[in-house]
Amino acid sequence: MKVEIDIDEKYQDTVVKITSPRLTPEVEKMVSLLRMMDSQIPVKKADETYILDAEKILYIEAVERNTFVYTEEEVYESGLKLYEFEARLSERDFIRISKQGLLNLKKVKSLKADINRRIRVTLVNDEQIVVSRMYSDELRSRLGVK
Amino acid sequence: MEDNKTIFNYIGQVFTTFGITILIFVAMAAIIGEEAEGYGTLFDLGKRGLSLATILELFAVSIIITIFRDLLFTDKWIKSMSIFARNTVFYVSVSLMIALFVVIFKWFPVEDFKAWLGFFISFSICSAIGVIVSRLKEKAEDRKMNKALEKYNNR
Repeated sequence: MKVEIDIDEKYQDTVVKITSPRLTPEVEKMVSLLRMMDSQIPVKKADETYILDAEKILYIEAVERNTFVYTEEEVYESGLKLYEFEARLSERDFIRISKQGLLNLKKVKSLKADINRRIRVTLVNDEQIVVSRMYSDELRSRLGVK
Repeated sequence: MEDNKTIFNYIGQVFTTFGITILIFVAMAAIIGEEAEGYGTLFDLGKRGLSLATILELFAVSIIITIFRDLLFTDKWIKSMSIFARNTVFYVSVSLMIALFVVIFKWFPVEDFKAWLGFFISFSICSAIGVIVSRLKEKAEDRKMNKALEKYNNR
């Protein structure tokens, strides 16, 4: 296997490109390792940094200039902005639910329609959050009900 | 997680409510205006339309309705009260507010028991229809969304 690294200021983003004549188990393993790396989120709590698996996140909320990451047991802070989380996690099960929030659909217990097309979400830990009217249609179409 | 509202959102809501209210009252003036002329201040122009004073009073009603709706339908209340409870509180508050306007602006004679009975019966019927329709719609949508969620999570 040949590894090429090209570092240049002309690139705006980090891109990993795999070229192979066919899809081998080795290529699949590389892809899953890269995906796993991408789903590890560095977060902070009481001056300690943790690496959090995206699957454990219930939702992410931006409050003023801070971003908070909620799991079933803990609340962490992250240096990443909400749009950065969205770019990293939208291909997984995360969806924008308001200008301030991202929700992990895999952690949703139930949904309830509310007035003004808003949706009340009950999470697996029974916490409730609200999907704003602006983003409720996106949630409906992600679930295939629109 | 509520999206921040600007003053223009509130102004838009007030004018939407105001527009609907004016349409309803203009229709009422066209239908019962002639009989109601001189009975109270609400239809003092008879079937010719609504007076400036009545229009301004209805504008004040629209502002108060927008405030009630905004208070009751924020995230805080969505999480702690059912739609049914919020709708009930909303309609009771609005009917009490309108009753206050009737007394202050003499929309119809305060001592007329039949007028009060008519007002509360018609308002209750309209409110009940509104609540029942929204409840049925809400139940059907909940079923559809939760079925889709289950399907999504079992993929």
